[in-house]
Amino acid sequence: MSTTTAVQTAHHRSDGVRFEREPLVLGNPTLHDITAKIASIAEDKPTPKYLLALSFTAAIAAWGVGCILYTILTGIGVWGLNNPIGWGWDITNFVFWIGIGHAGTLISAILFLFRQKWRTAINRSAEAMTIFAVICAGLFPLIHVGRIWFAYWLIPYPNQMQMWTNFRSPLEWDVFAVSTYLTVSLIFWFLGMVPDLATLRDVVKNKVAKRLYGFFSLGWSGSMRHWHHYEMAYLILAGLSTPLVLSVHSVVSLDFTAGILPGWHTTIFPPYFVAGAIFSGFAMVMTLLVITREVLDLKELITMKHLENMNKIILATGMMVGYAYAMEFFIAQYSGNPYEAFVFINRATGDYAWAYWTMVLCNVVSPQVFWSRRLRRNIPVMFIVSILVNIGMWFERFTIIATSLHHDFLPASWGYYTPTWVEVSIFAGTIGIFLTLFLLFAKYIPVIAIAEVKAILPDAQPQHSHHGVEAPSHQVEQSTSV
Amino acid sequence: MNPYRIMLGQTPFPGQLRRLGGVLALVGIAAFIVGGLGHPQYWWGGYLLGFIYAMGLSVTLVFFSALSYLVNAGWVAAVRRIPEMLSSFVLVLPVAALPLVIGALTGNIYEWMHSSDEHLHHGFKGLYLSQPFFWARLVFYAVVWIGMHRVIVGNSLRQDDVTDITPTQRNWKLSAPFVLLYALTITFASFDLVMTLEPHWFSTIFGVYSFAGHFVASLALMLIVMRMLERGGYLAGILSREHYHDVGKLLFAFTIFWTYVAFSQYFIIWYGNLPEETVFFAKRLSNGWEIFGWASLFGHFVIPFLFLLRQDVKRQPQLVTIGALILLIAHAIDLSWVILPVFSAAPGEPYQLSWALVLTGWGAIAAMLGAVLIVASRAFARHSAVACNDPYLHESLDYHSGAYDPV
Repeated sequence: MSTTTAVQTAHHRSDGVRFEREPLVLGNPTLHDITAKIASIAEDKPTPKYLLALSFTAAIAAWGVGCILYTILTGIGVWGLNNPIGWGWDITNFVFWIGIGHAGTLISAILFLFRQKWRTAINRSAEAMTIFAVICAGLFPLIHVGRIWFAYWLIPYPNQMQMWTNFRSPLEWDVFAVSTYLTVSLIFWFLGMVPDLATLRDVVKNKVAKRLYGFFSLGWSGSMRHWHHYEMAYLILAGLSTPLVLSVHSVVSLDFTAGILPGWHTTIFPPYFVAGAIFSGFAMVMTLLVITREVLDLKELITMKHLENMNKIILATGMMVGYAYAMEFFIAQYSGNPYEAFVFINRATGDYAWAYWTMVLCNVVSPQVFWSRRLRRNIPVMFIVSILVNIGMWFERFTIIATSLHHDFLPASWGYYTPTWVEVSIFAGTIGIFLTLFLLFAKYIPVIAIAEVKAILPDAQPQHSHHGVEAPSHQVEQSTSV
Repeated sequence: MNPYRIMLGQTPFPGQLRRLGGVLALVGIAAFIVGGLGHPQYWWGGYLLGFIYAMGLSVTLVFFSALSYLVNAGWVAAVRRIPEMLSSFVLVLPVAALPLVIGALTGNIYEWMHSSDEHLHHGFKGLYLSQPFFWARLVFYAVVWIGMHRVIVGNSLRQDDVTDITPTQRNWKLSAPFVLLYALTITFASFDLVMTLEPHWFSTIFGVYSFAGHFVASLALMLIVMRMLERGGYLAGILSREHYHDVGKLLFAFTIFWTYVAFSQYFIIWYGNLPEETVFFAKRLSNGWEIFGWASLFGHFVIPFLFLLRQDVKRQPQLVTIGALILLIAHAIDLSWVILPVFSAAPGEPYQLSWALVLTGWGAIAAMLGAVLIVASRAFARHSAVACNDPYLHESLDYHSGAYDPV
């Protein structure tokens, strides 16, 4: 399977067969090369192309924000929602964006605990996407409450009106789950960035930039004591973030399961949503990284090996999602409950069959190409599949929401829902916000975790010094010594 | 000569394992017989419990090996042979299943096989719960599992004797479809053998719930045998605290995963409060069976969570083995809670806790676990206890996390 390349060779030694893994950094760069490479991105003046891209995404974002204002000033009536479908694109988009945010935490927390060294080249950008995606997600419930100026009522606080939030509502649990997730992700992302910000502080020439990087690097000097505390904090935050990868989307899934609607109320929803979230998150990371590594010329740091590993995760989580679709369908028929059985037959053959089959084709069928190593390492193929998965995962949420609502128990109250241009514009607007934030990030924040990548260079490995000595998981190299 | 080829055939270890298995089996059989006196249905229920325990454990141990090939795990190479040896019971599963076949055919286990309830015999449910299809599925599972054992464990053993990595490469390729097949077969086996005990009840997460329990128990058994081997001094210089730490971390993680899945199932059904679903928990949280529900919560989550949370506990072989023992027992409690109540009352009657039934079931679990160890002792006698030519062995031996061990 993976032994055909020259870099992966099995050779024989006196005490058995030995297999060396593919290197994670190509081209044998020195520690200084890596600093110079990443710092140059932030140091160079923005190119006209970059400014063009930025203004394009910012224009879309502005258009979306305009439509949000229009909705708020006019009322939710400008959307296509009505009885019986009271949740449409808004909640679909909310769940979609929350899902996108899952790859970052998985990569930064779970892969860290699993000692997956390949995470170092991609964790920074994946975590950034997490934060931007959660920001986009949070917009939708806020707009959907209708009177956004009362949105602070979502937060429980003692008040003279004696009004409390409904703690029995899963929507309230979402407030806690999502805000916890955003907070911890933000802290984790920022903490991991401190040594790199200090590196930029020491490297950049621009005075304002130097001040800003200096402010955010919290006086980092790269001393042994700093590294010791940093690594302890990083490990603890990784441990704290790991349950959050599971909890956020599980709580989101309870928005549906707590309602006893056929098609929503089923026990597999929490892990099924988590698998789907990681699946869509990795697809988004793939889409953006394929472009980023090309544009910023990071091919020696984000190698084919990284992309292949991500494609394997896309294949695995895609099949978990497929497993959940199959279980839902099977149990609905097995249950003998005619309403459950109907909902699933209706999904596949009813008014929204087009959405259902789009979802199945994109999420279950398209990742199957990754069984082939050749296709796992083919840039155009992985780019197309990642786009398809993004589309498919959006349609998954839409299918779940719309099909269970449009045909419920009473045929007299059946209906059909189509979004208005306002809803479509707001969704497009959040894509604009997401991409704008990502473009700003890619330019002004170290896109690659400089210190962590240095730690996986061959020179940093314990077997390269003398055998048996423990090396810290991060290279202890003073950021000032570039 | 490869220094990592550890042949235990001439050492006392296989004999010790066989004796331990024999004692467990004898005590278990005695408890099994005594417990069921006067209540023949206790024997059927107890046997089913013991069978599910050993089946889930042994099949999942093969899955563990396949999974470690699939993800190219380096850390596991030094200890992977232990789960592989312990999984040998898979090969005798069809024999162990014979009493169940008799019990089912004589109408003593599955209510749906002899029920005249119209609801169970029409539509998709009638099709799925038809005897020919049911038996065909069981045969299919057995074929897949035995095939998986022969291929994955077989290639791992073949790697011991050759100097090229062809057998390992085969496993890299074949582990992926086998992991997929395992996911499907363990799901539907848990539906067929356990969920259909109450044929009206259904839960989409039931397959994941079963898997999570089996996986935790597999890791626990693996840790216990690691410790036995280490105490005997058989894996000196190979087994280090890093390996205990790594398996302990997985054990800890999947204990939480089990809790997450079990809680998802419980919480969603409780919150929805639909009679056709809540009946499962309502019947298991009354008339004495709630003791097992609470014991599951504490034994499978609260105690092991607090115990295994600390890094130094996971790195202490004696301590982490205590955690493993707790979880091995907790898995028995969990499965008992799901399976035994069904056999505690006549059809249609409310379930009633019976300690005689519990004794029967736990006797069967002990006897089956004994059989697992006896079968494994034969494998340990024949093959190297370390995957001595595994191409990742050097990674597994060289790894040091940098953690500080005070003791």
